[in-house]
Amino acid sequence: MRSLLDNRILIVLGKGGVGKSVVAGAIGLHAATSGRKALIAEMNGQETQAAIWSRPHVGYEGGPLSDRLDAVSITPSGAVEEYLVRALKFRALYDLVFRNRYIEPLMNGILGLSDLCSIGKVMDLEWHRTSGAFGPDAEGPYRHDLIVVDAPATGHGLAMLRAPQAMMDITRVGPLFQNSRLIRDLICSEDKCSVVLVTLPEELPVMETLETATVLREQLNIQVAGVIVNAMPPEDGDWSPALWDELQQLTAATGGHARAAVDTTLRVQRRRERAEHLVEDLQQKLAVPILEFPELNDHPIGPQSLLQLSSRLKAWT
Amino acid sequence: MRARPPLPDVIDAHKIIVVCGTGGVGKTTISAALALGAALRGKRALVLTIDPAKRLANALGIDGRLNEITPIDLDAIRHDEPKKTGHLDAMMLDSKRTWDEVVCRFSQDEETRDRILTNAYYQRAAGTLAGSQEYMAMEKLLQVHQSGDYDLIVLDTPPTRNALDFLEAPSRMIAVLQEGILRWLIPREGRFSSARAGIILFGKGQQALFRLFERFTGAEVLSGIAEFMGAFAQLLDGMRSRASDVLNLLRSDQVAFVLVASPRRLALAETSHFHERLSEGGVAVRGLVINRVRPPLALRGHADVPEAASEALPKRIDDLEWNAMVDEVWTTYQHERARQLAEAQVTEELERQFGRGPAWVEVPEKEAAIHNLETLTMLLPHLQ
Repeated sequence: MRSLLDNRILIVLGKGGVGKSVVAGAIGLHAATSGRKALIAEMNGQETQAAIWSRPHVGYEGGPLSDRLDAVSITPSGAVEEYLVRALKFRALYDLVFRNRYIEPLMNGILGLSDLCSIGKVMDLEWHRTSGAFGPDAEGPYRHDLIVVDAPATGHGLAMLRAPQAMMDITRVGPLFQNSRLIRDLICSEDKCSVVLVTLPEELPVMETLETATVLREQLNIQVAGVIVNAMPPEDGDWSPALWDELQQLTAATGGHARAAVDTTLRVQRRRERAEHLVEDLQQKLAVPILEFPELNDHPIGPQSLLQLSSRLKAWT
Repeated sequence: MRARPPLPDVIDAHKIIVVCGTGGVGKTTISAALALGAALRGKRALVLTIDPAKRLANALGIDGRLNEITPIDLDAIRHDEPKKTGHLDAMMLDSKRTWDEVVCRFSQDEETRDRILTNAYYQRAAGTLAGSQEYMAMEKLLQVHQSGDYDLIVLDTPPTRNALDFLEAPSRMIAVLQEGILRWLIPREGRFSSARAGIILFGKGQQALFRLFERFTGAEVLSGIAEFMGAFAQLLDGMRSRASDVLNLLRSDQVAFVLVASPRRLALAETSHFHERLSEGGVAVRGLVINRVRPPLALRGHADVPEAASEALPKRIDDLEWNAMVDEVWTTYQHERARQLAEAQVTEELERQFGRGPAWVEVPEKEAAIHNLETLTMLLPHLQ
């Protein structure tokens, strides 16, 4: 199987609150520590990566987080503006039409421009070479070896990935059609682009992950590199059952913190078992690598925890 | 100190409960549980949700999608008191289908209706136009409310980033359609054969602009948009008056807002912001549901936990396995306590922010998934 880092683009997708940004950050850091130049593209304008690294905001122009690791914050309005100014050739024209507070949302809604331009911006970023050359056929080393896309939550994320094909269906000819086809071909390219699904070890997110994988494969023709199950409860050590029984009996008698500690461990064990069942379920139903990230104890997350998580990705080659 | 009102009293005193909150806090499950509780108290209740993830269907133990009003069979969980009159219906809103209904209702003739329904841009806009989900949720809410079939409607709001989106998005969407059409794309009477025939443009500048725009989108695109807009313009007055009816309804005393919040530290800022925006918009939160609270550890609130395991758990000389086990159990305990203390702080902060006005319930995290009526019923004691 191809290594995770052999992709040009990895799209990190999952429902809200499962830890997509942290996973995207860990993948980016894994690439950087493996000697590649990585770029994390945030699609929600939240600047989570900069916050993790305690750096100033990177903005739409992007900026560094660490050695060989950059981030960029793609806002839909920024992407639409950049694309239209380029397509319409005149900024004044863009300002006239799209700065209108009624026209912009209307055009966005009817044409799906904001989703299209957001994913189109990722293609732009993929086109950049270190030499400054830019385009699908430019030559020389890439400015970034890997682009990790921290996608919007599942529903919206899928709409974004669907946008190029949708635009092709309604335009059928013309520059917008051509451009959409380039984007679609890139995200459907087996050599260049894969999706990493993120979930929590809970029933509903796991079920949604299975549904999303089906949609990606069957409707969108975008390959799934694997699934990261985030926030797995900790695993027990290899105690012998006899010792564990002994400890339980002992603490049942003493009570207090000792008893509470054992009860807590029992509860964590049950959570762990339930989580493991769900991981097995994913393994059976999806023929892709399933990787576990441990539950973290520090908030907010900083570079140290990210490094800890990114080291787990070494298993995924 | 004033006692908080019990949550069931708040619910039974209103016709509509709007369940709101930031994403991923369990709004859908709580909505279903609130409606179920009301049904078991004898109400004719409906839970209405917009949820692409089939979550409500899941919580209610129904397979597949609910596009229509679906009665939920409560006999299985009310064996002791089958004579009660209450019942529960569930409905999962299909936004596109509701759009189609709106088009049918407000079209002045069949030709207009068909022209819209078959237009590729309509089909696209119906799914993606900002605010369309919210508008359609309101539209459906008004419909079922006016039907008089229910004593209580629990509305699970669509996930939004902004607290007031649900209230503001519908009128914003209509303004966008209206102004966009009026100012930029005035369709001429009659047929829409080509882009320029279908649009009257003010001034040469705009004609030049459209020629340019056409060059980049293709002529087909602009004529399709013009046709859609032309036909759609007729619907807007009807839609706008519906939207203002719903706003009036939502601001009336028949409606109570219940906020679902997470006790996790990461979610606190979002919840506070959500609450602020609601207050700014004049929406009072009548009930607060703190969802998925970690079950209390023994000795909750005692700060005097010994640092080292050896003070509470006995170590054994020369028994490495025993000592390793004891250390690990202790570490687990410390971590879980730290998490729980952090949650307790969040809960205190929320109590401070919301005061004693709204009803307040805490729902513990369940060890099993809520995937059918029986498991949903397990939440009910916590919503009292």
